[in-house]
Amino acid sequence: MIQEYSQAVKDDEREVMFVQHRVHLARLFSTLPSYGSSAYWRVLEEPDIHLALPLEVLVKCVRASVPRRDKVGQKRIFEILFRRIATSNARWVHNVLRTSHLSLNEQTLLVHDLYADICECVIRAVIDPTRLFWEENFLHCLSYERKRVYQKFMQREERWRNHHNQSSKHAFRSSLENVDQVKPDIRRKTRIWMVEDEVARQALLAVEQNDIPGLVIGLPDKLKAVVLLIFWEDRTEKDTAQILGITDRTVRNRLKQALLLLHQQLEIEREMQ
Amino acid sequence: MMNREREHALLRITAQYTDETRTGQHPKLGDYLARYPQYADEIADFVAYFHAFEEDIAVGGTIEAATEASIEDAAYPQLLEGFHIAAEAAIDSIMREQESINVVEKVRSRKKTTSDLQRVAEAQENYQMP
Repeated sequence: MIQEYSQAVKDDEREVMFVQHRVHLARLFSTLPSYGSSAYWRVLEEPDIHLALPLEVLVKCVRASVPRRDKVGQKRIFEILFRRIATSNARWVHNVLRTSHLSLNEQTLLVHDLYADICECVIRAVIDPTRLFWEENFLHCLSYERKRVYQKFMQREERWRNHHNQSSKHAFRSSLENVDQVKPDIRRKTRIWMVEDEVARQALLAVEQNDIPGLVIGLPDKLKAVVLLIFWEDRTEKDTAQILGITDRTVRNRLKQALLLLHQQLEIEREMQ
Repeated sequence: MMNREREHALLRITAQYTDETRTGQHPKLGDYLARYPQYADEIADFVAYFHAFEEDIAVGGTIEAATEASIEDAAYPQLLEGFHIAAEAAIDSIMREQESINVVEKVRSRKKTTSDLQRVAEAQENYQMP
């Protein structure tokens, strides 16, 4: 009861913050110099990051240019936007490359494709006036869009299912290498779970906690939550079942399925060597 | 394809999670899944991705981000150059696509107007005074 009350209070505080944030952004947008004037562009193209307009306001500016059919202006604002998020996107690509273990040629192609896809997705989202959250939290929407791009790209390239790809290794390889090794020392700092499947228990002991998020990305959606809750948050099967509103048996079945998939992937990797 | 309302709700929820993570509050995935069971799969999906690829990317507009940006500009010159080229190409491509859509809409609108005028003319011809 007390927990619910304090959660409700937090929700109210958060809602107040959202409203204040929206009011602030609306005020910034409404006090801009008139559209297309030199003063307008000076404000939008402010180079100092501390004085620059929030990205959310730039989204509003793009959307304001659409009914004006100002293609030149639209392009100019997009260039400002992309310049502002270039480093963030470069870092993201670096993170993706770091887990991919691709050859140099493949990396070059991957970089090109990822950039092209994310740019296109951002442009389409920003010019779509129904995508309102871009006017509230641009960078979070960008994260979401990058997730979609990454997952679509991986599915398209069938890296999660391609048994015949000789030249590249799977993204999870470095993590999966640990799965079959039985470590006498317990890596995890918390309690040991008692799970029926011996293989699952060994995998549980072997996988590093920091590797878990990257490991589960390739799993079907239904299995991700179970693996994260048990492996990553150190929850029991019973707790997991309660949180997800499913039975203990379903939790065990999903866990088995997830580990089977991970093991299968490891076998594929070994065959490819 | 997710409807906009559901997408908006998910963005709100996951934004809260990432804010709490970045401000050192260590949110629990289990708490989120218990609170929003209707979005459990999507939340778990995003959280896994976030911790694998996004957690260490600085949030723009902060001093830390600006500092990191200047460091990263030096670290990833080739990646940044590639990004600028891709951004320019994407903008041009979608602008051209929008222009094509506008042209098609204009032609359709003109055809509709012509056929409407024709119908009015025919109706006037056929109208007989009582």
